[in-house]
Amino acid sequence: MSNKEHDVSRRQFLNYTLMGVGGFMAATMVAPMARFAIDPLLQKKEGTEMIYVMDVKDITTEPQNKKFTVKKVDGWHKFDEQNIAYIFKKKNGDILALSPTCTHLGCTVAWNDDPAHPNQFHCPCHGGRYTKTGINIPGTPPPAPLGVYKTQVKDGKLYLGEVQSRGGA
Amino acid sequence: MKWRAKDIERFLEEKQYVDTIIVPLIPLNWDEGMLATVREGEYVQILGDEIERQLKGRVVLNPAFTYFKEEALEERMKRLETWKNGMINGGGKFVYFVTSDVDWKAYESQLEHLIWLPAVPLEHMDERHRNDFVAETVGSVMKTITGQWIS
Repeated sequence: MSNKEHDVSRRQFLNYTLMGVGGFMAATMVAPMARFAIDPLLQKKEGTEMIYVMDVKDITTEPQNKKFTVKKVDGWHKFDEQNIAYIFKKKNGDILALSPTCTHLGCTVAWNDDPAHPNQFHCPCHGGRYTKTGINIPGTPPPAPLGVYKTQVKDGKLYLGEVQSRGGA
Repeated sequence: MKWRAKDIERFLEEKQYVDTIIVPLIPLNWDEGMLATVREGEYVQILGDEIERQLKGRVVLNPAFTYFKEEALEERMKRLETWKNGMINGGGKFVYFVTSDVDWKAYESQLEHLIWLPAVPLEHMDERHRNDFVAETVGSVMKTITGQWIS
């Protein structure tokens, strides 16, 4: 029996075997680590879910301040975030849910609390003002309209989702 | 704005809009009075966070000024003056000290913008009452602060 009859020499055979076993061992160790490292990326994105806020029948044409809690996940860090929405019906009957975060530097605006400018949103920090539908009033600091929550009505209940910015104007 | 790089970057860019600093005054001790002391600090911390959240465009929440209860009041006052001078030199126009520690009441006349609030054991409240209560308290503190801005 000569080695020439075989395609694989003893040395090659040993090399292949060691490489195979070694590679397999390395993979067993590395694969779970990679999985741990990118785990937050694989998780389903939270915060996109819709949260029940109020019944549609209670929505009036006057903006109402509603607080609701959103469970947020930032990587491994889980926390509850208190959100506020100003909710009302527009003249055409559409529901509008405004985010009260001022587009200037992020203070919380309030509805109709400035006697000098009734029926507007007013920012306590630098006097920014917005119309009822959240459009920034020229001559005041905010560069853009107030953000709008994604809304969804199901069985007479209003659900809110993420805030969508309305860009600069 | 919070005391973290991301917010302070913004602060440095928008300095002309940010002129108010909030400093919680938080006592420490490790004897029998510990629990009450912790409660005072926790309460002030919660209020500070909430005020920052609502007025973040004009307010920086400074890390707390902490001191052992044993530290003499004059010593604390001296240290606090150093802090305050540093903040005013750094662009702070209004520096508010928020505390639940009754010690500072004696210095109310010397410390401009001291906001003293009696601590409340929030841990015994359920979440909804707690949120309402904090919102109400924060509302009145904010009125004090925004009132100063307008005048």
